[in-house]
Amino acid sequence: MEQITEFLAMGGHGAYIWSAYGITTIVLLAVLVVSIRHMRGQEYLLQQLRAARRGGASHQNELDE
Amino acid sequence: MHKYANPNQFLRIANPLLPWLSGLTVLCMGMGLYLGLFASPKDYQQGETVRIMYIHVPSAWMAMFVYGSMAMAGATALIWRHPLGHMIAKASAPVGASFTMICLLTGSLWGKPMWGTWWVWDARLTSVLILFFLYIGYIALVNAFDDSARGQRTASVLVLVGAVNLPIIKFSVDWWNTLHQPASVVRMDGPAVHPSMLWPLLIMSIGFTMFYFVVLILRLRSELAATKIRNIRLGQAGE
Amino acid sequence: MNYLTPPTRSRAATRKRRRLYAVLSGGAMLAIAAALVLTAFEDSIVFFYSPSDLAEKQAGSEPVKPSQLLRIGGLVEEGSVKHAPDGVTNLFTVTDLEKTISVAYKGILPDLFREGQGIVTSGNLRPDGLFVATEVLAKHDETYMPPEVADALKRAGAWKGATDKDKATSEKGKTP
Repeated sequence: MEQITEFLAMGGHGAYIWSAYGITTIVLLAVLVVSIRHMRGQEYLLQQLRAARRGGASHQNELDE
Repeated sequence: MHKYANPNQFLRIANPLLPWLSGLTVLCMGMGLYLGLFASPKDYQQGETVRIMYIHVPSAWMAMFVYGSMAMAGATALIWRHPLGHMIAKASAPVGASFTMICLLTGSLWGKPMWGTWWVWDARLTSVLILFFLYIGYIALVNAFDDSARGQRTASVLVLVGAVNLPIIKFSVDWWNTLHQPASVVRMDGPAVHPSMLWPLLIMSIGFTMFYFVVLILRLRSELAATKIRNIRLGQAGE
Repeated sequence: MNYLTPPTRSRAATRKRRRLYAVLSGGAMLAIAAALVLTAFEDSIVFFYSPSDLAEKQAGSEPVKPSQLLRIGGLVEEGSVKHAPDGVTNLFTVTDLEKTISVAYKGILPDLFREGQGIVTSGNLRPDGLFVATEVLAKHDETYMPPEVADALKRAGAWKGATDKDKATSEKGKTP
C-alpha cells in the first residue's frame, strides 16, 4: 500500500506527471474513437448507397435523408 | 510509383497492414509506459518529473513529423495532381493537431514544476504554438470551400507556406536565447540522454509513429468512402 | 503515363514541370523572407540577455533604462548565493563566465535553483548596476541521467568544469 502511494506521489510532483499522462491518454483515445466511428459511418453509408443503386431508384429518397 | 498514388491501390496495400500496425502500436506504447513509469530511473536534476519526457518529446516529434508528411503530400498533390496527396494531408491534420496539443499541454505541466512557469513566450514555445495554429488553419480552410478540390488545393498551399516554421522550431533553441533547453537526442555530439532513459523514449516514439499510421489509414478509408459517396450523389443529381 | 498520346503527354509534362518550379521557387522566396524577418526581429525573439549581451547593450547607443523590464540569463555563480539582512531577499550573481550581474530577488526560488544552475530572471536594472528581479525561472540543460551516473561522473572528476563552459557559451546563443 505504502509503495503504491509512494509511486503515485512521484516524489511530490505526481499531480503534474499524472495529469500529463492522463491528458495524453484522453486525447489519443479520442482521436482513435472519432476516426473509427467516422470511418464506419462513411463506409456504411457508401454500402447503403450502392445497394440502393443496385436495387433501383425506388428506395433512393429514404436513403438520402 | 504513380500506381500507388491511386487511393484505391494504396489502401489495398495499407489495409492488410492495419492489424500489424495496431499490434505494434499497442506493444510499443505498453512497453513505453512500463519502461517510462516503472523501469526507468529518476533524473539527477529533475527527479521523477523527467517521466513527462516520455510523452512530451515523442508528441513534439510527431507534431513536426506529421506536419512534414502533410507538406510532402501537399506538394506532390499540387505538382503532380495526385489525389492521394491531398487525402493524406487532410487525413493527417487532426492527428497532427492532437499531437501538438499534447506537446503543448504536457510541456506546460513539465515547465511549472521545473522552470517555475506554465508558459513563456520564448522562441521554441511560441513557434510550436504557431504550428498548432497552422494545423487549425489548415483544418478550417480545407472544410471552408463548397468545391472540395479547391479547398484541398488552397489548404495544401497553406501547409507548404507554413513548412518554413519546421526548421525554425528545430533550431530555435540554437539560434536564440530561450528558456527551453537545446536538443537532447538529435544533436551533433550524439544524445545527451542516458541509455536507460533513451530506450523508453525511443520505444514510445515508435509507438506514437505507429499510432499515427493506424489512424491515418482509418481516416484515409473515411476520405475515400466520402469521395465515392459524393460521386454517387453527383451522379444521381445529374440523372 | 504511357496511356497518353505524345502531344498531350508533353503538354502535361511541361505543366507539371512548371508547377514544380513554381513550388520550388516559392519555397526559396519564402525561406529568404523568413530569414530576413527573423534577423530583423532578433532582438525581440531573444528571450533573455546574457551578462555580456547586457554589457554590450549598455555600452551601445541605446542603454537600458531603469524602468525597462528585461530578462537576463546565465549560471548562478558558485558561492554567490546569500540572504540579505531582511531575511526574505535572496542575493546572488549571474554569470556567463565572462561578465557577471548581481541580482536581488524577493520571493520563492524554483526547486532547481542552486549554485551552478542556469536561470532566467526578469526585472529591472538599477542605475547602480544591481538587477532587481521580479521573477526567477530555472533553466536546465539538455542532459538527462540517473543520479547514480551523475555521482559516478563527479567521483571520476569528469563532471561540470568542461560542461559549465559549454553551457555558458551555448547560453549565449553560440553552438560549438
